[in-house]
Amino acid sequence: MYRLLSFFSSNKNIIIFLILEGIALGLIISNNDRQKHVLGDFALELSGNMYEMREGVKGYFTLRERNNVLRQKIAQLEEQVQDVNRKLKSYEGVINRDTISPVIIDSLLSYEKFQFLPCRAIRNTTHKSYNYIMLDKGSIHGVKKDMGVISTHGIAGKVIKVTEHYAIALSAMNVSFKLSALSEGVGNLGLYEWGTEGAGKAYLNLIPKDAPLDTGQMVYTSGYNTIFPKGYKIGKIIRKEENAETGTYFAELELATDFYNLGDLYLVPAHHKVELDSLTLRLPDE
Amino acid sequence: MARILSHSVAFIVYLLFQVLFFNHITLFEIATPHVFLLFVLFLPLDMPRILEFAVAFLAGLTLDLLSEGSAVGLYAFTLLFVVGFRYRVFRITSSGGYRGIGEATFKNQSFLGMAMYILPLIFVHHVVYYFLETFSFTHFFYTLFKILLSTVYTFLISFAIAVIFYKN
Repeated sequence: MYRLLSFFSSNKNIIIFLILEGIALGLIISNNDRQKHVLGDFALELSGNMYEMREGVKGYFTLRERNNVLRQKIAQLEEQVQDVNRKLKSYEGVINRDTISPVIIDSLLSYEKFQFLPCRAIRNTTHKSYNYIMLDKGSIHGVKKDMGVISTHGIAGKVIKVTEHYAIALSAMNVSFKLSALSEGVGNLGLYEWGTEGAGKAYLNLIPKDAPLDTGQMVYTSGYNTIFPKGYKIGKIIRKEENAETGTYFAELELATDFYNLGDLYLVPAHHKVELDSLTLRLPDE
Repeated sequence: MARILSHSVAFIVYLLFQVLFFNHITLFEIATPHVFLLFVLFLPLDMPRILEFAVAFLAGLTLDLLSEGSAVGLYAFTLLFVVGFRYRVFRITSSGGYRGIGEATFKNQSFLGMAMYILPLIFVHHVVYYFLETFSFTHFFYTLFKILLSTVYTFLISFAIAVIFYKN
């Protein structure tokens, strides 16, 4: 007993050192999604206020660029409106409007109407393995957990934490952000992953070998995970490689969204997410 | 007492600068200067080792909680690790001439001695930090490149601060 005690007392420095290192390692492993668990609501509100002030000042210096982006977007929308109008005109001849009761038309319209919530990124990191976006809209504006975040060019992230006035979103440039993807005319394509390489690049894994895939092809969200509806841009394929072990393809993507300059974003409501999730839960266990 | 006060002030200043300034001046979106490291490197050398460990651990934890994007415990682990070795590195690199450790200070270190003291510790810090952060060897050479660039970046800033504030 005495020898045990004397061993402890003569090595107490190294024992304390090892214990503390053990605690730190335990913390690292158990808190990977730290924003979710550790940063309390109060700290988030506080830092949100601070960053919003900073972003307010910074906003003035990027006005011209933002203007350009918005103008481009307007032009695109204008084209779409023309397109849709043309289509509508062609249908008008086919359907005699009087035969459809107004009630049906109304309910159809309300189903199709997506309510996008515009918001702004007040804080965004791009150089870490775990990147997050802080948004200036919170629960009082109608933000909910698991809403998708998109920019004018493509997907940007998913909301993981909401307080009264602010929200934190997992950036698509985060190693824990996973998404299934598809491409034009190909169907289910693979799993989106981000690999800490930065510079707006990401990967698509587990692509079936028979998928007709070319570089330069655009990749879209599949809509299977209920966070993003089907068909939002993810990025463009710039390189593909064969994975000999699994017999699948592996592709490098150039992200559509410019993560170094996020600015104005939109929140996509997760329609029927709770309903769909509860359905999946009720699946019988084989 | 005055020493405790001055190191407490240093802690707050380093913390604020790291969180509000140094975390945001990344080089090519790859290298970040971890200047906060200087706080633990220049703690008094005659401090009880247990106290030294506790200070490094708690300081690291505070920094972890305040700088977003990194896993909690990352700085705590790394700073403690570096502090565990700093005394040995100091002994090897200092010009000597002191009898007991109570006399050892950073004040009469030469420029070279100062650089020799902080550079290896900065390097070790970045190796441990970035490999723990990525937690894999998948992108080994990319991580290595990140480590080397960050080491140089941190060293250049830290050396200037060390020479100005800790020498004489």
